Amino acid sequence: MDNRIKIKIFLQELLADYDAGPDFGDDDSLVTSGLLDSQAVLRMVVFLEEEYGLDLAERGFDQNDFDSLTNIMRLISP
Amino acid sequence: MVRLAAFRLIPALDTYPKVVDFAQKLPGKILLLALFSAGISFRTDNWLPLSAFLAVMTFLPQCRPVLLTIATFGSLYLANWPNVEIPWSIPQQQNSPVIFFKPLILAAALVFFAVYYAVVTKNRDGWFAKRPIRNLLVFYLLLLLTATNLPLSSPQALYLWTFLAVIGKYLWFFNYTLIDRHAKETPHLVLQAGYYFPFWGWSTTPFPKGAAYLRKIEAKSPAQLAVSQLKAIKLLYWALLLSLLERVLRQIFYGSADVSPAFLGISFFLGIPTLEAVLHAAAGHSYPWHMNWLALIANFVVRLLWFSVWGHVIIAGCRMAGYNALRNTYKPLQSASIADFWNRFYYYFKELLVDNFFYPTFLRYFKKWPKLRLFFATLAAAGFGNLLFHFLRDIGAIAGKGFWQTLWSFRVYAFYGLVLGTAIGLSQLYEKKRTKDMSWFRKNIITPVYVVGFYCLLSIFDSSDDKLTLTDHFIFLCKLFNIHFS
Repeated sequence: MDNRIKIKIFLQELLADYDAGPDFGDDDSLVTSGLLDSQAVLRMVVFLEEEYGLDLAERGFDQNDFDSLTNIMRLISP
Repeated sequence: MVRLAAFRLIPALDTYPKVVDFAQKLPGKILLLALFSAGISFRTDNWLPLSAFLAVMTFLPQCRPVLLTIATFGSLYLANWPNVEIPWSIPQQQNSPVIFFKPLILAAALVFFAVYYAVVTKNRDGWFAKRPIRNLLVFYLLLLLTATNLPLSSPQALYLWTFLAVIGKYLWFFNYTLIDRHAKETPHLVLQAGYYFPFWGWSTTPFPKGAAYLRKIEAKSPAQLAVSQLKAIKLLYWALLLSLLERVLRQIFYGSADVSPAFLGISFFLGIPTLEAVLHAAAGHSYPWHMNWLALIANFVVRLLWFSVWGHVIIAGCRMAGYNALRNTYKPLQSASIADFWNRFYYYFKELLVDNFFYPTFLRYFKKWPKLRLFFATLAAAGFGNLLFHFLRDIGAIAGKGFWQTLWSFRVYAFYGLVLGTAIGLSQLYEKKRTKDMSWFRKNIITPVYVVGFYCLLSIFDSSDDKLTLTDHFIFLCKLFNIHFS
């Protein structure tokens, strides 16, 4: 499955847990807008660690990296 | 019932298209600025310069970052620069030149950080650049330890302590700049100085977060500015209503004989003692058990209201300047869990702890044990980070009593942090996160009573009063349940 689609499905499941609808644009803000909180960001981190071997310990953490689908895509394929 | 639930004391003006359109026109802008000035005049004596800064930013949105920096330094100048709590133990005659050199010390602190930032960003492979926030905190702690060993009577001590106090005030703003160093939205370091103690309100906790976050939430069109400013007006007037309620409750709970015999014509009061009074009165011994409960609950309610008002006013100013930030306190009584209350009560402090302590811990330790990983990172933030923040904030005590003596005086607060961190950690692991999964009775009765009850009881230990021991606090807790010792 295409990475973008895979992550989009994961984000839609996450949004459903937060009572938000599944429709969002690639650049729509998900965290800063208040749709998702820091706990949701953690679930994204764990998902990306498990699926793509992402290691943010050395790189440094920036919550904005998880704010939109575009930002997340940039994170896994810099 | 549905109509009642949808009722709003202050209408959602920012969702009305005609109002948003009007707010983008000249008369609309002037009206909003006038409404804000009128409202903020109830909260601060500096309402006029604040209103002037906001007016300029409203009409010149393209220059907002530069204007913000000018407004911030302007407001610092008007307020005689930040209160740096010069230690009382330094002889008074030494304090007189402080007014003159305070801006110089401030400049020195900013230059110090600029050098540190340059070293970190230009030597990315250096050991200090790997963990710049931890290294800055350790360096600051070492400086404090060194300073406590210098004789306080020397002029050098005064300069050093003032420098440390200024650094301490800016410490968490500096940390946000370090966190934001990779973010593409981060403005130039010189402009970031305008985000440190921004003119809309002062707190050691950055409101709201760092420069990258502010750039992200900045209004990028006239319509977004209008929405942000309408939300500012709503929040400010909501804060004024809450402030009124807080004063009425203060009158009813405690009376306000020291100020005036009555507030708004209310002269009746219950004469409930303050929490401090019942804690000090032999850990509540001299008051009947029901009075101890009343003191605890009244303190919790009034504090919750005061705190909400304080945060709302700061965020209202921020929104009026064109930064549509989330509220600091958001419906805490509707919390679905202990972790949810922590998120809703003091959002920007929680974010500070999350950004500075939670994420660095979460990303490094116990990766193979998901539950332990989450729990340990939560404890690092709500427990250790919380304690460290409050300890460093108490620099006057560190200078006066010494480093280790002050640390010892935080033993009750350390216990508070340990319980808070543990409770939030367990809540994140095991509690339901959303109220939609709950029955009506659980959602509206059981959960609020137990969540608010937990924080209300925990507030007994939210103290750095070194005259009381941990045992005193426990004795008071037991007396609430009619358990007596001796």
